[in-house]
Amino acid sequence: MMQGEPLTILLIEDDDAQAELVMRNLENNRMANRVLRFSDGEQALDYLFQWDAEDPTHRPPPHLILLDLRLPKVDGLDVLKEIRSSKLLAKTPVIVLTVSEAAEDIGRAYEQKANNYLVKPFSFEKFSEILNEMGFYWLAWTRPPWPDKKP
Amino acid sequence: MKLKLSIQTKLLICFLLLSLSPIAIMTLVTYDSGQKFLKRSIGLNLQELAFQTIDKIDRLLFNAKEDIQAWSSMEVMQSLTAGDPEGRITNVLTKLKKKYGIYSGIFCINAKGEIIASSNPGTIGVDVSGKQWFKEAAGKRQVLVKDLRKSGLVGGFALDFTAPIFDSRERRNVIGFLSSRLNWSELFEITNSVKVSTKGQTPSGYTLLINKQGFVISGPGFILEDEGNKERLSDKNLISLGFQSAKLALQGQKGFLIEYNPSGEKILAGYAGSKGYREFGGFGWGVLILHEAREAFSVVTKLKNIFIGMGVIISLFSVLLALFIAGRISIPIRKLTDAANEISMDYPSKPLEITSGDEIGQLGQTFNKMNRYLKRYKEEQAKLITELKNKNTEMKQFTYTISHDLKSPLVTISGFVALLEKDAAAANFDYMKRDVERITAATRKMKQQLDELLEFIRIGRVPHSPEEIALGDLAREAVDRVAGQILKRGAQVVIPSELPLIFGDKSRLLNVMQNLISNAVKYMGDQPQPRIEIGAEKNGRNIVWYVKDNGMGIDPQYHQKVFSLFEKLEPHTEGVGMGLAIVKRIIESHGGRVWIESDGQEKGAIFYISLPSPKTLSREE
Repeated sequence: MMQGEPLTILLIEDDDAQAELVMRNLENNRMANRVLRFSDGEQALDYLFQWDAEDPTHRPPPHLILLDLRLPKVDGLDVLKEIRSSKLLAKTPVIVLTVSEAAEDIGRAYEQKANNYLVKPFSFEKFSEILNEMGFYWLAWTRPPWPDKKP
Repeated sequence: MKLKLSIQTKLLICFLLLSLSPIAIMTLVTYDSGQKFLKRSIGLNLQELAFQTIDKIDRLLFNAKEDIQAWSSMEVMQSLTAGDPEGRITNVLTKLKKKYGIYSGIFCINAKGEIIASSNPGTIGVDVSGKQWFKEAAGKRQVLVKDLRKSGLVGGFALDFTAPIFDSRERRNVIGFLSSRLNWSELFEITNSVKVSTKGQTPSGYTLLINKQGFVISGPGFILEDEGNKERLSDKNLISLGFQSAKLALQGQKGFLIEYNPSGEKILAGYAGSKGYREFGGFGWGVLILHEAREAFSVVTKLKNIFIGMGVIISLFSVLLALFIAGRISIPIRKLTDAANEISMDYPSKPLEITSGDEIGQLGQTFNKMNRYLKRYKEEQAKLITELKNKNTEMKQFTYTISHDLKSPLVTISGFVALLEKDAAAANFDYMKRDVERITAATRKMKQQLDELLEFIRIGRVPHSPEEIALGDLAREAVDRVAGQILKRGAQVVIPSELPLIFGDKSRLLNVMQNLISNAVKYMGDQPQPRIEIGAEKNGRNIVWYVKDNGMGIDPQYHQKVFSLFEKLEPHTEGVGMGLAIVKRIIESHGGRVWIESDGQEKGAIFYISLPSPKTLSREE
């Protein structure tokens, strides 16, 4: 996969204000990837499993999923469970977004095999750090945020 | 070591001791006296037999003596002096011997000692003058009786009866003698016919006749085996053999005793001594009836066996009775113990079947009652624990929800404040305006959440001032309150005129009604002819009322979730997701229930509310 190519990021967040906050942060930091937002778990699953069922080649799985835990209809943890039980999405990186810093919540997220955990409010610095940790050097930027670092 | 006995065993032992000891004592006493009595009567019987036997013998001898005396005075005897030339005496004697059958010979002897006439041919002419008996008889004027001895005239053992024959005119001169020989076999006949036992004479029970010296002179054949051609009939002398009974009999006494024969066997002896009969003084003989004690007392042995048998039967009966009674006591106790064990190990125990009316029965009943109480208590406890667990889970969820949902607007605010700083620095006024809008909205939302949360907590308490409310009035009032919303959506609300009375806290139930109607309007979806219907039906004692709409409906999988705090199925609708949580809380605090019937898929929804009737409520108070 080539660096700099725009990638698909799935944002599953019910609160419009917070979704906007995430988008604005990404935008401010010149991250030029395609962000798809869903406001509840059901919609997100419908999207994810629709292409899975119909034509996997036409719509490739997203490269990263940002998942809020508290969602209407289908809860964030249940969405994660569905994702992890699917063959195609099992390896898709998922970063859980939550307001809670409680060890219990963090533990539950990792139990469902979340790749990482981001406590709101969404801070871009923290987000970049996490991406870096996870090895997302391939994300597309309009200009590289870390010119010194290895591509 | 302490002996561990079950109650059953203890009762068994106790009962056996109690029942058997008097029986055993009674048996022993009865057996003892019975045996004494029996022995005495058996002994008396033997004694009587002995006495009768010796008496019979004495009578026989007396009769023989009388006979000879009578015969000696017969007229025909006077021809003795003439030497019985025509054989008339011989003829008479022969006839007499034949007629009586007990004599082995009758002889007529003249004064010189010569046999003149005889019942036994061949003896006529024999001279007996030298014989001892003749010499003795010659000097006497009465009948001479001689003890048993071997008689040369008849060639066997016999008794001599010799009577003088007087001349008929003056009866002064003895002209001769008439002498008879009583056959010994007559004695034998008598002694041998004594019924010592039912079989008569046997080697273990027989009759002996002894003479003055103690020699056996008559007895059963097996006693007289050694009979020989001797002067004495038997060599057996009972005196020298040491028989106490023989000694006593020869002293003329009668009685019975127990003694041992020379071979060491225990025997019962009845004895009687001769006393003679009338003028006949007897020979001083004695009769002994000897019976082996074992056989003589066989009746006593039988009695003993009967008593032992009775004892065994009584013991068995006692054991059975004891087992039965012990069972009646110990089996219910065992059951009780087992049941108590089961309960102590927390196994469910069935009610005991102890129906007896005694203390054990009462104990069983009490035990069952206790068990029932315990069961009920356990069930109540389990119910309470479940309730408590539910409450706890609810509480946890509540806390989780509050911490998450109340924090959410704060996160939004702080996020946009950070953006605002950046936008201000960049002098980007459009964005700044947007940021402030978001912050304001979040603040408003937070205030609303807090208000509703406070409301939610407040309504959780027990409703106060419950009253009767006309459901129709309640519906109309609620419709008035959300009239703006209804008009805006153009919805039709149907409230039938016949609606029942309900019972509860009016302001809170109004809140419920308002929430449900408002929800129905809010989730009408694309329905071109929105319609809301309020109705009621009676379900047993409870009144169930409902709010029905033809809106978008709710998918069955969310029927529970919609009642949770801050839970919204549609993120873009207004409100913070507290409406149905509040409805649920109000209804539950009234002791009622709320549920949804809807298939989703734009097919409408019905919210049912079931409230207990006032009677049920007041009874619970």
